[in-house]
Amino acid sequence: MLETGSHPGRSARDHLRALALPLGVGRHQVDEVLATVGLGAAGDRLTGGFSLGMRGRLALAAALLGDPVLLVLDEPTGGLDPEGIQWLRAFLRSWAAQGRTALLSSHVLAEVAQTVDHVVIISGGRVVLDAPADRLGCGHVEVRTPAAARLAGLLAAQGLVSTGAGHDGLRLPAGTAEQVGQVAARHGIALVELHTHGPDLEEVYFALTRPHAGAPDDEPGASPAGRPSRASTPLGAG
Amino acid sequence: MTGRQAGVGVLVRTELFKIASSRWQPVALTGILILHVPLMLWAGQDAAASWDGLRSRSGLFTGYFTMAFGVLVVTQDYRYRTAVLAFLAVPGRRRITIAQGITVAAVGVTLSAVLFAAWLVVGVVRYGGPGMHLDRPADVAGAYAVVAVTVWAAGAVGVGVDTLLRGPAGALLALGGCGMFKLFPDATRFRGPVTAPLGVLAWPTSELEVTSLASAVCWGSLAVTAGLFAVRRDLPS
Repeated sequence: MLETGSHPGRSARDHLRALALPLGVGRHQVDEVLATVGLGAAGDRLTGGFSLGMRGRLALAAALLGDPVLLVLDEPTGGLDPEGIQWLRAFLRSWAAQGRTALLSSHVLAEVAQTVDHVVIISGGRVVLDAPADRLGCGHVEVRTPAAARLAGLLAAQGLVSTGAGHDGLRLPAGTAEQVGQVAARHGIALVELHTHGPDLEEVYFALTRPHAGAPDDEPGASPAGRPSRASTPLGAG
Repeated sequence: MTGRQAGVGVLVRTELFKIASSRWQPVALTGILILHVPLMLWAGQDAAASWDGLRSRSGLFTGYFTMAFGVLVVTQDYRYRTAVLAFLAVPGRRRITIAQGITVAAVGVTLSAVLFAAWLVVGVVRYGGPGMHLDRPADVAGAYAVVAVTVWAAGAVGVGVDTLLRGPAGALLALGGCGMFKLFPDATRFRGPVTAPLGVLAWPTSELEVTSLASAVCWGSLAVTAGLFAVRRDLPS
């Protein structure tokens, strides 16, 4: 995450105002970024009493002061509670929806997989993967229903190829959850479970960073950019 | 946000805002002024002693306070890592150091001006205008100029030394050690960075230890120059 430093004897609002003055940013925008990160009500509290999550939000507010188009976040979920992680994920989604970019560097691959649109894996100082997250080939939809065989047939009629997963389960490619739900609803098939598994970045990561490994052949869209030299590497995702 | 980087004037305003918005610094600055009130009420001497004590009463304590305040203003940026955030807005740390030097000097000079004026008024009330040299305005202006220059120099030493050492413990130990060491070699007793203000302001107002004044100014300039050199290329760490 951005540097979370702040004088403990200064309020969050004054901390941001001290940063805003050299940027030529007004008081109104300070209040705006405080509200954006959900610290509007805590703006007059001294930062010395802030939790780790609140400090993270304050750091994010500081980064937003200059109205940037690109955010660079290093291990943003470090030390955050589940609520904070969920909030950050939603924030980054809304940020991306505005047409802006967030470059997120993290070692928590499961967290990254739930957040990003595009993945870059760097190993030994070289980019070994640069691909959209939904084209990594590891994401899939899982559905459980007592009428698995019937649903599989109906889906096949729609051009959706499924494979069996247990006696009452089906597995389909990522991005098909909505169609599966619609087909099931149209034909009155009760679904016990329908969910999307994000791309398993850990698998991709280990496949790419194993010594003498290249990009997996079964990953459409993934563009390996070099051979890794070490297994222990950072992951950059944006 | 404009693409232009903030000038020193804006950075001075920022430093003043940081002082005003912190919890204890305005209290400490006000406390310095309030501490002098009982002394003003109880100090009863003759006109000559009041005049002779004018520089030391308004500047000596203020000078050392300004030195410590300079250490504090610089150190809090590093201690609480706000220097890293400031770096994002103002990559050139030199201008921030200059702004901090100006801010600390301005605070010290303002404090000493208020105290000088207050002690002068007390003297005038007790002993009349001529007793406090009001009939010789050049004397009064000269006395305050010496106080202002010495207080500025003391503040510059604080800012410069802490910019070099980046921590209150190191800076205060260095300055304290420097002051203690200078007590021993008699010939240089009032020429060091810490003892020079003492050599200027502890003397009667009617006398002036020019060498100490020159030393104070030189040490202040040297400390700030060294500080500016130290921050010329680095990221705050």
